[in-house]
Amino acid sequence: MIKNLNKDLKKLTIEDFNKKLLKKEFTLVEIIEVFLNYAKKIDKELKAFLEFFEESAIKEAKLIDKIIEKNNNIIQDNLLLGIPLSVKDNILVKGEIASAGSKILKNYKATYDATVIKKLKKQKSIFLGRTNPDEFAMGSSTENSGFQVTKNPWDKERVPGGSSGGAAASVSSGEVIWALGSDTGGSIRQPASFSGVVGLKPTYGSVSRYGLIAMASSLDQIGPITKTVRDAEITFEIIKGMDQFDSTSIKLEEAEKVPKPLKELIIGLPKEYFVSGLDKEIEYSINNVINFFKKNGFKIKEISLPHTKYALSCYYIITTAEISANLARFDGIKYGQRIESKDLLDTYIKTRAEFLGDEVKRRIILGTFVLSSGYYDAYYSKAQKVRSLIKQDFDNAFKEVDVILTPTSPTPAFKVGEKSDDPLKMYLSDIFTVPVNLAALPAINIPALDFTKNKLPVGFQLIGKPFAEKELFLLGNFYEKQTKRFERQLDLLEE
Amino acid sequence: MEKIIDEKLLEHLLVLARLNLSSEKKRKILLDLEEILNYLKEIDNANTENIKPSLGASFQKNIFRVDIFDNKEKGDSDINCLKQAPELENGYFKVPRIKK
Repeated sequence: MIKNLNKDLKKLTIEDFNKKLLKKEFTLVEIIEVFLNYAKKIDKELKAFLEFFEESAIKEAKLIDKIIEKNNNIIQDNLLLGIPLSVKDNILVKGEIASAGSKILKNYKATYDATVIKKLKKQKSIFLGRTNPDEFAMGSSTENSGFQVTKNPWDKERVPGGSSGGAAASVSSGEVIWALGSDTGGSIRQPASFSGVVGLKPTYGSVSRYGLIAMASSLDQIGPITKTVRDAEITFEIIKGMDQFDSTSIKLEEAEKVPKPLKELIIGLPKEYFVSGLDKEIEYSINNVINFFKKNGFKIKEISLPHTKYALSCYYIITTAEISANLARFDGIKYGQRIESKDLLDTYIKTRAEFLGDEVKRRIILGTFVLSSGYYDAYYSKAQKVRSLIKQDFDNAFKEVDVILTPTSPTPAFKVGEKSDDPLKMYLSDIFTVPVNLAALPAINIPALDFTKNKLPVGFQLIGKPFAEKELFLLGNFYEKQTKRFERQLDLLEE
Repeated sequence: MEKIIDEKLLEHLLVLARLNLSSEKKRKILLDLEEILNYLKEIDNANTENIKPSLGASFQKNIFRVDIFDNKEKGDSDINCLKQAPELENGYFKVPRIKK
């Protein structure tokens, strides 16, 4: 059935899995047990998971096996049937713990399903467990998790990126076929880039945020982390859509447009993203991606996004402001842990001081500062205006081009501990991803064919017009098929 | 140079944010915040004359929906939600005394 666990599980995409299930190469119980045993074994070192949902996963697999026995057609009609996936710890699965990587929610059990979970349950997908994030999704390495540090499957001394680091590592190592993550400033794309997998941050409003533990509500978006662009497309098609429980979700039937034909897509290269500070090996690898598109007859145009230099400042002012408001609810009264004290105010303070981590506190304090009287105009109000300018930059660029190509991260995966003491240095690792969230656009990370000399993955980012995910898939799929980057990446494992 | 956030302002922010820090962590965070804020100040150089602030990022105009309660889509029972409170009394959240 599955012989070489390490390679065979890594190779398995959604469509492969579906075909094998149809051909009865395995039953769901058999394959889910294989996945769980493999994952439990390698996760001792990798630490991608905070918890495996072993019992419920096997129970679910048995149930679906019975349904298949009666009606084999159900497999053809449903690509996600029985597919094992992992869930980032900030997305609610009813009855399971959802701690957002924070000690304050260590024992918190979700009382309802997030809309994305509900949709996947309807497809009869199987949830293998919850993955480690940075606490409340604040970080770029998972080192800010209240529980553990996830390792990069390509080099265990390095971080997998963050905040969806556990999610990216779980896919990259073959523990699951795909993962649900969330992206506020790059938290899907940057770990996908560090871990050599595909990660999609959908247009703001495409995927319901209902049941996602909020970090910065005007930027948060749930998205898939997958092995291939095709898998990102399949999963996105299922999780997207308007939801009455998220008033910022959009009627996509009205918003989505027919994509342009592949070869007519014009690719833009923003000059502000190709400047000094970019790692030499990243530059080499990305240039090869650009050359690939050139050679294949695509029109490439240099463009300018002049306000890029303000994006990170703008992002940290707006997000910390939203964080300070969103995290006020964690006070030890309605749920979560509590430290008893003499009165209510002191109970709040002691509870939050004890159970929130350093980075979360830093951002709450910063957010409280930028919103406080006397500083509001200079910081928050100014940042909201700059956000308009950044959006305008993209609007202007999209008059000339259809898709924008950039590196996803200025460096490959860094070492555990390398940046954990220097918050500003850590923030700078998101410099190419945050503008997309500020402008609410869709963007996808795709592993480039060329890895670094040390065999670390390098990712490139394709940014699309609002609701033009299909154009990203078209271009990404073409690159992946032509270069055979997925197959060649698997070969790298064997060398 | 004058600090953007000094010890006094930090104390004030900590009360507003319902947080507390050890004196060692206070020293560290003052340094971190200073470095971060000096970077964030870069934003001053952006020319925002006549630019309207963007309120969120939604592509949506304000819309209204019918004000009806859909029983099918009802969330979970209150009891289930209440269960996770650190302290309950007669089905209500119980909090420590409010007045000193």
